[in-house]
Amino acid sequence: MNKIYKFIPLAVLLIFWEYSASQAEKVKFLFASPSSILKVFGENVINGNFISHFLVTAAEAFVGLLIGFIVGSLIGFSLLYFSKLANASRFYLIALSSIPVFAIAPMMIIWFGIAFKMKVAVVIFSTIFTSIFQAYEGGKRITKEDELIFKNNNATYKDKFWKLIFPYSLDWLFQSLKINSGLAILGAFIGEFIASESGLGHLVLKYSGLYDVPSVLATILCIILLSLMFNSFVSIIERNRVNIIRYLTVPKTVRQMNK
Amino acid sequence: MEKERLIKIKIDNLLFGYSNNHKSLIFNDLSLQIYENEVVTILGRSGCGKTTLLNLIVGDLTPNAGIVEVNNQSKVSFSLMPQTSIFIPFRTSFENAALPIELINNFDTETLNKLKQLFIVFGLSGYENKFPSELSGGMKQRLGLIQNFATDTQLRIFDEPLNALDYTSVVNLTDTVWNKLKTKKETGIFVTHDIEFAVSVSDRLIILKGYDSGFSEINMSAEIAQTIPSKRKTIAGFKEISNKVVTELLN
Repeated sequence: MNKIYKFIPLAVLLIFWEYSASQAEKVKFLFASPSSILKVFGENVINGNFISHFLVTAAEAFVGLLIGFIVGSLIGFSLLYFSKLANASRFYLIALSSIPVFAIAPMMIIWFGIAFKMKVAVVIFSTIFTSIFQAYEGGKRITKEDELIFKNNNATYKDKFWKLIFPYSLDWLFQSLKINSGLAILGAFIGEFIASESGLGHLVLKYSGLYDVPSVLATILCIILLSLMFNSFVSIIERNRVNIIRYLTVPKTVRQMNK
Repeated sequence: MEKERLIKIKIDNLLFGYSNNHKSLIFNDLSLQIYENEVVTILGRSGCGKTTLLNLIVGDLTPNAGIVEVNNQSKVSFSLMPQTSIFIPFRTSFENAALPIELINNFDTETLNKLKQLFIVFGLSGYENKFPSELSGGMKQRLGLIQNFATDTQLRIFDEPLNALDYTSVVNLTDTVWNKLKTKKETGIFVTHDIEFAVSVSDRLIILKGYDSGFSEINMSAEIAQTIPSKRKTIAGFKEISNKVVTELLN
């Protein structure tokens, strides 16, 4: 029952939108109408146009996110072991991360061309800094008391990272992944806006140039779907994090004795 | 008459303060020994330096002057159970207890079976698959003890190990811990405020007096020292020693 309530505002908006569009030509031209958007959306999905562009943007965002998140988190974690370097680099990292992606994107064309590589580079740039900060802060929270059992047993660096720092910063890593999945799609989109031959950003640019409002809005619908897909992907991993982390960090013999 | 006892921990002319200011000294010229296989309890008012002394022993703090030596070695092998044990939230009780075994890379089936035994001994069997968040404060202390006894070591230190447990559990667990220490021939150091517990479990009591005053010690009679903690109360000298501790603390 609660689920139905959620859709009431949307339904009201759609009805109002559709009604106004049917009453005035101007409204229909400027804002299109839900039915026309849906029609364009359906056509483009069936003829495969949206699907190919959707996959291009999804691939750019996903590959960039994966690299940005993993490399960024690893940098963040390794900074934990070098406190002097961490202090020295903090200023530079904040300065670098404050550069707007839009400002750096034209440079990416010079460095990486206008194809797939360039978009991935923009996505990495958009996601890496948050990943560094989140991993570093997550690992920073570990106190002397948390470490005690590791100190008692003269644990190796590897064990300390794998069985303590990594599991403890997991909440921060998921937070990072959630923020970054949004930033990754934005990054891919900006990359496509700057220069592209395919992708959802390319479509938006092309259709708005043609004053084809229904197609622009239908493309935006695709972007929303892409974001939702990324979000639910992260949520699925997050929901199973206890089992994943146990599988990764607890030796099999110990896990099986537990049964 | 008394046979030569090996010294486990030797503290000589220890001088320590958290800042260099002479007034903030916690220990001034403290000298004491703890012997091999001995169970010692450190008592004292809050702020007299009990935990500081533990930290000096395990090497977390370095003395301003003087010597703190364990086993004549600089690298100490020990096991310290803090007032509140912290467990990894992503591991079940059993996996948390097995963590020390994993860290010393010794997780064969036999060791793990022994660990399962410990769950029974410490009264936590049936909770192996529960996560720390599902355990009560008392259960966590039991788990802390299991984790502590999972590996072999020569020196075990307990900081208020049973303060979250009810009276009968304390009595039972004191017996269990005492038995473990005595059968494994390990040295044990307890820190507590609970006088009855202290007299029940120790061979010797060390009562810290704070700065300059040093400490006073109370030795148990051989009869008491050899009796299991829960039976000690029936021995004639028990009450007398408890009273003596109170007097010392109030001084």
